Amino acid sequence: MTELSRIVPSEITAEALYRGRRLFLAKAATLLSAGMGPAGAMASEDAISRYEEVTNYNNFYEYSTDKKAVAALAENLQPNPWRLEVKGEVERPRVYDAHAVGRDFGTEERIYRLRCVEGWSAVIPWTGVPLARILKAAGPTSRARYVRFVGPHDPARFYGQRSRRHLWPYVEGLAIEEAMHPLTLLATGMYGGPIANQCGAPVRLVVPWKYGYKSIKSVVSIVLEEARPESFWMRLSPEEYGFYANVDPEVPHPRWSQAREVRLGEMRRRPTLPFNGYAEQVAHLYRGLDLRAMR
Amino acid sequence: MSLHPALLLKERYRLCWWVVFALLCVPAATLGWAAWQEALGPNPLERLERDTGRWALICLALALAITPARRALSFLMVVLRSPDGKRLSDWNALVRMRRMVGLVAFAYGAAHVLVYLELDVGWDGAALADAFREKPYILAGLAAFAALLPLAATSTDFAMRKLGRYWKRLHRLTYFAACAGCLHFVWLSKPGVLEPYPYVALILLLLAYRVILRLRPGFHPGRDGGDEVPERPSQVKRPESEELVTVRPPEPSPEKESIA
Repeated sequence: MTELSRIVPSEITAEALYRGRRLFLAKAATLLSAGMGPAGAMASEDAISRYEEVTNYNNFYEYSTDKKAVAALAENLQPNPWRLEVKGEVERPRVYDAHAVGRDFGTEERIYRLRCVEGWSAVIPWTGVPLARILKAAGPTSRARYVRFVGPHDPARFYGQRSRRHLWPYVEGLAIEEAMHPLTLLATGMYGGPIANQCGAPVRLVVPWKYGYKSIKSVVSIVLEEARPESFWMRLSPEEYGFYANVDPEVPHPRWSQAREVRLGEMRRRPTLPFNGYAEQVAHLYRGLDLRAMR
Repeated sequence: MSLHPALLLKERYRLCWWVVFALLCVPAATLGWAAWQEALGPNPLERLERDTGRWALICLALALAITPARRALSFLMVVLRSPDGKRLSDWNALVRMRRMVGLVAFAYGAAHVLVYLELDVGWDGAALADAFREKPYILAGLAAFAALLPLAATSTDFAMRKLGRYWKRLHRLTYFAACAGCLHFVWLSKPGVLEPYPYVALILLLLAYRVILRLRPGFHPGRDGGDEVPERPSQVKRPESEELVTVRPPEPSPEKESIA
């Protein structure tokens, strides 16, 4: 008899109660780290980042390349209603209301480190659906080897998309094994509430062992494909941004420190961990592969 | 009493110097206060590095702008038919302020380097060596700061006297420092981010001015090496107030004289 099946139904916390408790925990952690300030936060390992920091320092080129300007610009995101398509090499293509995804598939709480390729990181409590559930519901065919994620394309609303310096929409991709990994989350909420617009409302990808740019915001479609998709960043600067983009302190970058990172709110850097600290869970995916050569 | 800017600069030079100095210190004070209040924003390390570096570059550009600004101001005064400020020498005070502006640029640069060494790499020799090996922008930044070091060291009157004409040659390193600083900024920015380009454009413009002067000496009438220009003693002493001075004795009428 496994540990899990010994739990009797009466012991299971009602969802509302559970949510409330989670929210309290997140808030408590936020307050705790806020009270400590930069000096105090240095000593604590992986304290949850403050909500104000996480929501005022955003790479969301659909709006702006200025991380501090995104929060104000993203007020017009209009996350409701939001169509989320699952299509491509699947037996049952689906269109979901993004707000129903959590209810349909059931959500989980995950506190993940987020490591940006720019050398900063944060610790964020997410609510979301393990992506594997959604993919399995669609039934990938035998030809589904990669998953392409596509962001919104509407220059009228997303001011940054008026720029011709980038090729819109934002596209990211994962190998199917990565997409099916239990850590890969389609987030539907953060800090116990909905996802803030600037953080990729209403649904975004969270792949904690890869650089943040893989975790595409405001997902519009999930397409299963046979060929490896070419991502937004690969198109822009292929020599800098690889497809795999696993967090790797050993692979240097011409601009940013990849060996060390600074947590939001802190003054000093800390060492970056291989696979962002999730090596135990994900390293087997890449066994026998030369990640240095593939990036 | 409204004083012409050129006269204000000349006659209230100390005051103007302090005002400019205080203005250039405002960003440093703002940053220091924010650091004290722990209100540097989501990424305090980046904010400290960015702001000190940005102001080093701005002050460097200001120092480079003084020579063309003096020329432009005197030209403007000619066009405006202003009573004062038409001569290059009327704006000598700007040239005299350049040392302070350059030293402030150096101070921001030094703060920038110190923040990097202390907070970013934490005096970790291996991390620093990696940075030099992997990151061209670090090399460019180091080159810029290294070029500013001898300039700051020779900024005293004593050094100026000792070095004589070599002083000016040495201080042309400013051009190099500005170029290296721009390269540093461009190389550390993400592809598609335009933030460094206004600074680059400004500095390129200021350097282009020097190149034009070098290639076409007839571009301006008269020489302008960016030094103080000897002032001509003013020939006309203007009376304080003409209305009050002109108290003339009544002129004898010609009729009366003829009668007499």
